[in-house]
Amino acid sequence: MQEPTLLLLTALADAPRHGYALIQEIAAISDGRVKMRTGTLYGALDRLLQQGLIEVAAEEIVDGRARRSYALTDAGRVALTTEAERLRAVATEAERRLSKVRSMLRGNAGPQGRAAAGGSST
Amino acid sequence: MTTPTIGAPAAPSAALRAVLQLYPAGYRRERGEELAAVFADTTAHAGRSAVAREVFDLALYGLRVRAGLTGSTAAGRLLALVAPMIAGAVAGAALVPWLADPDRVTFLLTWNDSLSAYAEVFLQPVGAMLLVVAAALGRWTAARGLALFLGVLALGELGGAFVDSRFADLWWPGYIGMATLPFVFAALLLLAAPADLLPRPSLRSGGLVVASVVAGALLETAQRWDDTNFPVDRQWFVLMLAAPLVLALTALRGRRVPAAVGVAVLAVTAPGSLFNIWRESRGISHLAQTAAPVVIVLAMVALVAYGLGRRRPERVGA
Repeated sequence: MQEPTLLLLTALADAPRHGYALIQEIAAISDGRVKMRTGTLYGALDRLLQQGLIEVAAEEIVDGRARRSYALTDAGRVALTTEAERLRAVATEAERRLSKVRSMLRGNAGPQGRAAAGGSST
Repeated sequence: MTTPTIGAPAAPSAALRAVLQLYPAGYRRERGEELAAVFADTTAHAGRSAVAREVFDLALYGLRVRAGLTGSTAAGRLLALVAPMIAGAVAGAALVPWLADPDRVTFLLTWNDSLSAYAEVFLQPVGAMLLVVAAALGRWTAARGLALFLGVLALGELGGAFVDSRFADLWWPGYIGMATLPFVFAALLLLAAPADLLPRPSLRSGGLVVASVVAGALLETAQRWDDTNFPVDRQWFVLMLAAPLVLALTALRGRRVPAAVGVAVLAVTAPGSLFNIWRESRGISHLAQTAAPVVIVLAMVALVAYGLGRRRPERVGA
């Protein structure tokens, strides 16, 4: 799953949202790193609608403006769950390997490591 | 979580109205107001350059919708599959003359060692290698930029061939077109592919790019384009044109992978095959007599394939 798709599905995970709210949510979730433009957003929305991962939840007029809200479908929820589990598995494995290296480095910096660093007197 | 502020409605700007005209009427009717509202909100407090980028992005998507090349269309999905293949294949084809004949560079620079001669000699192979690296790493913005650069370079060379021939003889531009047109096609295909469907960097997509480099090099070698004795028979060129064309036509039955292979191969072999078939047929009039039955058969295959494709549902993941 491409990152913009993941961010879009994540932005819809807890509640239906309309176009501008999605742009703001995606910026908030990505800590301001991803600023989706209108054309790109609607490209992704059209594709996800066509794939059946999202659906139109409501159509209304607010302050004289057309506003359509989108929501995750069951298939979209499954796709997001699967992707989140995949990412969690990768992150867990990365964390496990890094902690192994960290404990090795701590071991080297212990009494033996310091002795080795001090060099041999023979 | 943030709460959007929806302000009072304002008349869409002239730029926005013009951009919305790029969308097909049906799409504009369904989504025009919604697009205008989101555009108004995103550009409410934006500077001129940010507004210009929004307009450009909206215009680009409008053109994609109109051309049927979005991530939600079959053509868009097909082009996204073609992208890694064509990036690798065209680069592989470009590298063949330099790997097969390293003395060529020395020979070319013996006569002219000016900066422009160096640029002429090295720009294409270096650009091709960078294209492979960018595509293999999934850096598609860079890959598209490089493909565009190589395509423009190729068009310049082809234009020069037309000028050299004084627009009177097709032989020299056709000959140069064998080596240059694949770059033009590659640039067009890569730019037309929807960005949101281009493959993420992975061992699989990187491997596909590298395999395509080898395939492109083999196809280029099979054409023997730089041998002016033209040792390859016309039947081979017909085969190198018809086989990928039939593969490409499988798109009509919803088979995207073989169709993508066909499109990528066709982009590399079609210019050389067409030129050589034309050359060996000694002109358009002779060619028309030979080609007419082939074109009729291919058109019938396309119609049958399309008819069968309409009756069967599209294969998921094909």
